[in-house]
Order: sequence, then C-alpha cells, then structure tokens
Amino acid sequence: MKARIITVFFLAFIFGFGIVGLIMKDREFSDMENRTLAQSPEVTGEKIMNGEFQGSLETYLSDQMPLRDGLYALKVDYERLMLKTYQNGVYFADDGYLIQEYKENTGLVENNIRFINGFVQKVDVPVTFMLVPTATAVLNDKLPAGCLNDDQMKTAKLVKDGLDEKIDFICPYEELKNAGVEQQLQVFYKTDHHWNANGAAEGYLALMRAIGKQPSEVYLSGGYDYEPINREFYGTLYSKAPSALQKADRFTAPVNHGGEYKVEFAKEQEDPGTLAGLYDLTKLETKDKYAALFGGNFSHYTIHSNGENDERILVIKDSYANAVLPYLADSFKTIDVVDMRYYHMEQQTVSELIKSEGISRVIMLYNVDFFNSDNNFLWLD
Amino acid sequence: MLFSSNVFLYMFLPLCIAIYFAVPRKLKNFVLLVFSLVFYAWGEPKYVLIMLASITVAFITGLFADKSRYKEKAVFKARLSMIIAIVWNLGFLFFFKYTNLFIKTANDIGGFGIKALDIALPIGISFYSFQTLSYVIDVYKGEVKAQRNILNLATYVALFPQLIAGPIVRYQTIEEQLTERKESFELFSSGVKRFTYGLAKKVILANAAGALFEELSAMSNDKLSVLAAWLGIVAYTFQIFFDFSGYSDMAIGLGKMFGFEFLENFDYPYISKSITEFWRRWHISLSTWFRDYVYIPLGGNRRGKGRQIFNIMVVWSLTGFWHGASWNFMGWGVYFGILLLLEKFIWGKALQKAPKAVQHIYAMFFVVIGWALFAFDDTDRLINNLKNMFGLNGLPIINDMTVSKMLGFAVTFVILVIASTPLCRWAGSKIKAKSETAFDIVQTVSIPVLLILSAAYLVSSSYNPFLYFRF
Repeated sequence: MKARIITVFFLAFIFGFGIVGLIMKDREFSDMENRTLAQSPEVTGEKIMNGEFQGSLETYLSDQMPLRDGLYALKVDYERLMLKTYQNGVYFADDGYLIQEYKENTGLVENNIRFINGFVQKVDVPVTFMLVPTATAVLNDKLPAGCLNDDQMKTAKLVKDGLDEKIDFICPYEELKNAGVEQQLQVFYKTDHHWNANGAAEGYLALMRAIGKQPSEVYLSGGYDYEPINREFYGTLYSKAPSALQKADRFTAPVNHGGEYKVEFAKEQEDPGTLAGLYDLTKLETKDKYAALFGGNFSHYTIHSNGENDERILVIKDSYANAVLPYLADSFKTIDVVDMRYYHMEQQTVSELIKSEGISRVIMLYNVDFFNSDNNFLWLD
Repeated sequence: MLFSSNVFLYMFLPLCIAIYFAVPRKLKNFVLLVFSLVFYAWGEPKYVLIMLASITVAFITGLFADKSRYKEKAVFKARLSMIIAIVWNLGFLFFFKYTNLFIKTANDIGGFGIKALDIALPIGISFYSFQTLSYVIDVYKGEVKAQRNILNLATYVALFPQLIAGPIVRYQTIEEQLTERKESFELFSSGVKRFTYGLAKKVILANAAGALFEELSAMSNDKLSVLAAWLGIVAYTFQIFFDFSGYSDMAIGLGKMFGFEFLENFDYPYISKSITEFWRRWHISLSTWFRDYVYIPLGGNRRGKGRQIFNIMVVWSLTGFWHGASWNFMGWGVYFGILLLLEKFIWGKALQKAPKAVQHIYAMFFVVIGWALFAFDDTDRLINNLKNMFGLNGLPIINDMTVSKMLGFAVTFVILVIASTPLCRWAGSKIKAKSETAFDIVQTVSIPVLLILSAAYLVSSSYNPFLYFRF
C-alpha cells in the first residue's frame, strides 16, 4: 500500500510536471519577475555538439515550469520558516515591511557627482537637488538583527559635500523619519521599493521649503482625494521575496478634483495614449500599479496644469519623483520632466533644453539607492 | 546531465522509466544503455566515444584475461591482457586528467614554457575507468566470469545512475543483476525514497551550505573574523557531505527503480570517533577499491611495518590525487595517510581510552582541517584561510557580519547537524516501534513534501526579478 502510494506520487510528480510543462502555453513575459522568459530552444546539430541546446533547454524548462511563481514563493516561505531574514537582496523587517539591502558603491556615486557638477557649469538657473533616503535608512529600526547595510546618510553626506556650490542640496531624512516613525504614518510601501503618497508629500513639502515657496492651496487645505485611486498592491520587493504570509499594500495617488492637467510627450511614440490627466488608470489593472503615475518612465514629457506659479521648471528624476509630480503639478503651471535613463542622444542636450524652453529652475530628484546604482548620469550634458 | 536538473527530472527520467517498463525483458538493458549514452553525451557529446572505446577495451581484455581459457603454459596471456587493461585505463585517466597539471608544474619549476593541451576532463572518467579496471582484474583473479555480451558490459559501465559521480559500483556487485534482476513496487518505492532524500540533500541542504561557504571564502580579510573563517569551512564540510552523499543516495535510489542494488557509499561519516573510522564511513566504494586493488596487491600489512607504512602512504597519496588534478588533493591524501599512521602506531590506543566527546571532537577537528586543504587549490588562499582560522592574521574573534550570518543560518545548521547523524533513523525506529501506521504516514508524507520543496529550489536558481524597468 505504502509502496504504491509513494510510487504513484513520484510518477505523477515527474510525469505531471513534464507533461503539463509540455502542453501548457509558454509565457513570454513574467509580471512577477519583470523580464522576458526563455522560449523553446532551437535544435541544430551544431548547437547540440557545443552544448548550447542542452543549456537553453534547461533554462527553458525552468522558466516555463508550471507553478513557477508559486514554487518560488514556497521556497521563500520555507526559508522564512528556517528563520532566514534575508532573501534575494531583501530583508523581512517588522510590521510586514520588505526592505532592500543597501551597499554603497562609492566609485559610482563619485562619478555621478562629477557628471552633475559638469552639467551645472552649463546651467545658469537655480538647481535644487533632492536626494531621498529609502526605507533602508528611514525605517532602519524595523530591520531584523544582523543586517549588513551601509549607511545611506553617509552616502548623502558624500553627495552633499561633493556637489558644486551652485546646487542647493536637500535630503528629507528628518522629515520622513518624523512622519514615518514619530507620527507612525506609512511613508514607504511595504512590498515595493518606492515611497508612497504620504512619503512623496513629505518630499514635496521639503522641496517647496527649499525653493522658498508655499505649498499649493489645495495641499494646505487638505483638498486631495485619495479614494478614487486606491488599490491592492504587491510591489517589486514582493516579486523578489514573495511569500504567502505577505499582506498587500494599498496603492494610492492624490486626486485634485479642481485640477486641470495635460501631459504632453516630447516623442509621440512614447505616449501610451491611455493617460487620463496625470494617471494611467489601465496600469491599475496590472501588477506594477506604481506605473499608474504618468504611465511609467519616459525620456521627456511636459505637464501643463492650472497650477499656481507661472515659473517654468524642469525636473530631472528617477521613479521616486513620479509620486511627487502630482503635488508639484498644482504648484507649477508648466513642468518639464526628463529621465536620463531614456534621454540619450536627443536633439538637444538637457542644458540646451533649459535655454530653448526658457526654464527658470531645475529640480533634480533621486533616491539614494538609485543614485548609488545608476550610470546614466553620463548622458547629462 | 545532472540529477538535480529540470531536464533530468521532468524529461529524461519519465521518458526512461516509461520506455524501460514498456519493453520486454530482453530489451531492458539496451534501453538503459541508450538512455545512459544520451545522459553522458548531454554534457560532452564527443567524449561518449572515449567511453565507448574504454568499454570495448574492457570487453576484449576481459575475455582474454580469463585464465581458464588457456593451458597452463599460456596463462601469461591472461596476465598480459590484464596489464593491457591497466595501461589503457590508467593511461587514459592520466592523459585526460593530469597532463595539463604536469605541464603546468614543469613550467613552474623549469620554465619550459610548454603549451597546455586543449583537453577537457571527460566527465566521470575517474569513476568508470576504475570500474572497468576492477572488472578486468577480477576476471583475471577468477572472482567473476568474463561477460560475453558486450551490451551487458556496456550497460554496467555506462549505467547512468552511477556514471558520473559514483558510487564506484564493482562488477561483482551487479554481475547477476545485469541479467537476473527483478523490478518490483517495493524496490521502486524504496528507490523513490532514497532518490528523494538524496535530491533534497543536494538541492536544499548542500546548496545552502555551499552558498554560505562561497560567500565567506570570497570575502577579504578586512571583513572577516576568526569565527567567520571557521563558519565558512564548517559550511564547506556540510556542503561536500550533503552534495556527495546526496548524489550517492540518488544513484542508489535510481538503481533500485530499475531493479539494481548497489552497495552503500556513506555511513554517517561525521559521527566518527577517529580518522580511521571516518575513512570506513566516507566514500566507502573508493576506499575499498584502493584497499583491494592497491594496498593489498602491494602487500598490505603482511610484509613488515616499514613496508606497511610505505603502502599506506602510497594508497593515500593516490586516493588524494584521484580527487582532482591539483597538488592540494595529493596533500590532502598525504595528510590523511599521516593521520592514519599516527592512529595506527602512536595514539590510536590512547584515543580509544579518551572520553567519547573528546574522540568526536578530535576526529571532526582533523576532518574539518582536511576540508580546508581540499577546498582551496590555491596555496596562498589556503594558508591565508588557515591563518584566519587560528587567529594568526589579527582578525577579530567575531564581528557584526559573523553574527548576521550565524543568525541567518542557525536553523539550517541545526538541520544539517541532525541530517548528518543517524538521529532521523533512530527517531524513525522509535516511531515504528510505537506505531507502524504512524511511521508509514510520516515516511509517505515526507516524499511529496521533499520533492515539491526540491522542485521549488530547482526553479529558484533561475528566479531573478528585475527591479528597475525592462529596456
């Protein structure tokens, strides 16, 4: 009896995964892993002789394995059961927070500082640089014992000291800490590497203070409605360390019912065509809900609004800025937004853009982790 | 092909089982042979020819090594045939495995500037050349009959369960099984259990220990501590045991599915109380092979103490060298040879009188240091690592990084320790004594649990989400 059960189970296991894997339709893209998956490999005599086919077949089977995402989550939960607090670059922190590991890449940071300093020499309008610490620094009290993160505030100091005197540097660490820890607000997503609408609002306030302006009337009067956009959300860090035990986040974004917005893409082919005001509501139905903010990241777009100031500003940024821009849009009528990851070899360099568009203020907005890992600052000219 | 791969588990094995059990008895060995050749050719298509050549040579020399076919005066022909087999096998093994090491060493010493040969080590050659060698020698000694059907001999040598990582199955063990074996549900399910435990040992336990060792051994001294250096080498100690014995378990289990019964290869080596005992429990098929085909032919302990010491050192130098084409492996063998001699002639008796705990600590201490010799083929790294372990590099005893790793791996380590001892078996027998049903349930449930968890680990090795956006 026992022998039969074990035998039947084993055969069902190897044949089951084998046959289901064969007949199941191959997935092209994994939302969970945010990458394209290996497809059925090509068989040729040469590829068999040099072993290439054999290697691709193994990758293919692994990528197209039935229940792949569930199996990976099982592995993560097993390791959590083994009391492991670290998985794939992510720590399991208190209160259900997934927090990214941070290791300073000093050489890259110094290079990025150099690129920025070179850039501001060609700019004769005020430049404000906001470097946002991530949850790793702000919520470090929630991290489990024995984490080996580098100090983001040390990196922030390196940047502050290294940047040209022309640049007004701010780092909203105290503000986020105060909101997130003292006031117990959630300022970062628990399952994503971004800050949420609360955190971004703190960033907005710090930014407005730095440039010596009042926050918008709608902000001060508490006129934002967070109800229309409020969805269950499992973010990128959940993808890295998925677990059956993980509670979902709520993805929210501020809606100003009195606001009028139009987002104009510099390149027609980048326009997703699905933007309603500032938000791409179709993205709320996908896994990556954070992309509902402006539809994701693009090389260059301009936000027109009925905002308070006529001053024309340029925001050079990473994805952290996407959550701040809805607030900024109520403060400024025209905002140009440039993402150096995509703004390569364009018709005009950023400094030329500033001149030709008559921009009178530049805001650079980056999170520490991004500044510590991205090498597209070299395009900044 | 590796057992712990998706291709093996979900394509090769189901196909092989389906066809094997569908064909009539007469064709079963042929099916196994064909699948074994595919299995072998998977990684190195061209080296399958070398294996086939070795099988052919073994077949022919085996036939002619049979003394009973000659008249008394012509018996030397049998001996000649055996010598041809020895020269062929060792020649091939040396050529493919050690030529480049000798070239490199000669260049290092004499500065000859000889170019290294463009040869890769045919996978499993160390295992199958020892098997064909022992087959011909056993035929010569009259211990087994020469195999008259080359298909059967080829099935034996190429049999995929044991082809690339042992155990070194002797022909005499499965001589009868090649033609007379009987598959059954009982044997198959017992094979499934064994295979599953082996797979879990490899992909869940060995890989976890291995990852820790890799991480720690790649760290520069300014990040390490004395305890971390020990942690690393202890992790390696577990990795190599679970990796290797897991592979043997899978081999034995797969053999059973097809009706073969191989001998055991590991018997809880880390519970040994001496180095002598360790080598009775570790990679048993290798140490008995060297005993039967090197130590005893050299005269063993029957020609006086001096000769015995010489024999032991020869055997252990070769055993070490067999493990890889690098001098540190020979050093590792010599290290154990010396320890075995010391136990035999100096402190063996005193050791036996010591408290058991002392004996265990003694044995594991030298085993762990042995794995350090084994793990680092670069002498500078080895010396640096040993200095770190013994606090000679001025490292702190412990640091934050070490605490972090120890916290992260604490439960895993407990499981590793338990799984290296007969504790599970003991607990099993206790449960069985109380209630046969409870035991059956636990054992039956353990199989799907471990299989699915192993599948999860196999998939996770390629799971790699991109955090920032796709380009």
